[in-house]
Amino acid sequence: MYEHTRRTRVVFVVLMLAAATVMTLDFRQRPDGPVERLQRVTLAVFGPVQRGVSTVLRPLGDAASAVTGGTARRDNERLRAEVERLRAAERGYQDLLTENERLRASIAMARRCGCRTVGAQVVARAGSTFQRSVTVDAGRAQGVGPDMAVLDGDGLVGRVLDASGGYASIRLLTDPTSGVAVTLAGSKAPGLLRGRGGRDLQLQMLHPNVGVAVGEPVVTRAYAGGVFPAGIPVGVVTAVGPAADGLVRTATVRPFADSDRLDVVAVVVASPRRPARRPSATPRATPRAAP
Amino acid sequence: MIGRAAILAAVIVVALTVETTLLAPVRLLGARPDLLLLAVVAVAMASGAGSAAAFGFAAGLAADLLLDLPVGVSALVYTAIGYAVGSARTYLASGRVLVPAGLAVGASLVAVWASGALLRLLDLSGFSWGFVARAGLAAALVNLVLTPAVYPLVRRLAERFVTGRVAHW
Repeated sequence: MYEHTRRTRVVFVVLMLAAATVMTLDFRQRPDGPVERLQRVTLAVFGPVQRGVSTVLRPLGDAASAVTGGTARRDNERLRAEVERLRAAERGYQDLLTENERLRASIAMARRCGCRTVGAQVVARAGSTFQRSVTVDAGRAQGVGPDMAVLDGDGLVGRVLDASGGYASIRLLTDPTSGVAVTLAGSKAPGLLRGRGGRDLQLQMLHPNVGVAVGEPVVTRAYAGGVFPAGIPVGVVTAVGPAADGLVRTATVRPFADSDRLDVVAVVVASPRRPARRPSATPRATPRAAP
Repeated sequence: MIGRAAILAAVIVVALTVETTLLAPVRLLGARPDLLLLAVVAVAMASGAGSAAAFGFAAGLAADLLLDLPVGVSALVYTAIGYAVGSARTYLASGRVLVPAGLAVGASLVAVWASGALLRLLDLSGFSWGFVARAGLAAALVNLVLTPAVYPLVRRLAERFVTGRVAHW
């Protein structure tokens, strides 16, 4: 027997219409629209919870992996407990050392591109099958805003999608909706790098008949209206596809940064200024004032 | 009523937090565990179609907002799944172990395939149809493994606060 009442059916229809309306609002909204503000509130609510849980889980995960691989015997409980305590302390120091090294590497990467950056810790990863993103513990309070580039010690990681007061959501390079303007480090040929959901990225060259070689590094390209600084290492070409109908050549790029093992990142909050153009040898004629 | 809403809201917060932290490294053929979906199925079996549709809407909206998905997609899919499972519960012998397992597999397939198809048709995702098909099967397997840990707990919580013989929202 059906349990449906008229009221239940009405509730269902109203909820489905509400979901469809929210989809439309999200699809058509302008920057800083109502749905985006709601996302920021959600980030602000969940961020501290996720950071707290991540902080607790990190040493537990380290300890669990150490215990499963340990060889301590049970012949002396007191000594064993003491050894475990010392090991736990050492793991804590090692954890701090590793974090410090990664942060230093991120800062070094940022210095190479002349950028001003803000360090941040990854506190959560996307829980969705159809999204590749992470949440970090730096937000608007630290100067982080949408579309800023995010690096780690190996290279470009992704871009800021949205930021609340103390947290930011980062869309990773590997997300299929991610696209980054790049150039081949050697030939300076421009291209567009897209995520595919997996580890590797797809490079589409902008001009036909451009030579692409396996092993060639790929770096970010600055362009008018773009937000990424130029020259940030992104990855290396691992395979070159055939030129489809002689139009656009594609290649597979393995990113330097391993998005599955992100821990500490740096958000580029200010890009270096581009060098001013040299004045031309022949000065322009000053336009005459209209009579 | 307020106590029930608070408990179910807490279920959403805990499920999303666990998914994004403790279960963060788990990814099988691109598919991630979906604790919220298992919670929607459990609420549907405990409380019926109306409550499950409302819970599915709230859970899907929270997931969309937090996980940076196009907002409304998960809300739409979870609402439909909650309503469907809640409507069919009178035909299912809830005492059998295979029922939650079958529901977890079926709901996972529908959730991933429907979400993937919706995202593809609206041109909001670059994932291929092949990925969507594989991810549905992988999600079903991952969620099946997690069902014994999630389903009984959420169902017990939802049943504890049910008022009346049959719950209608």
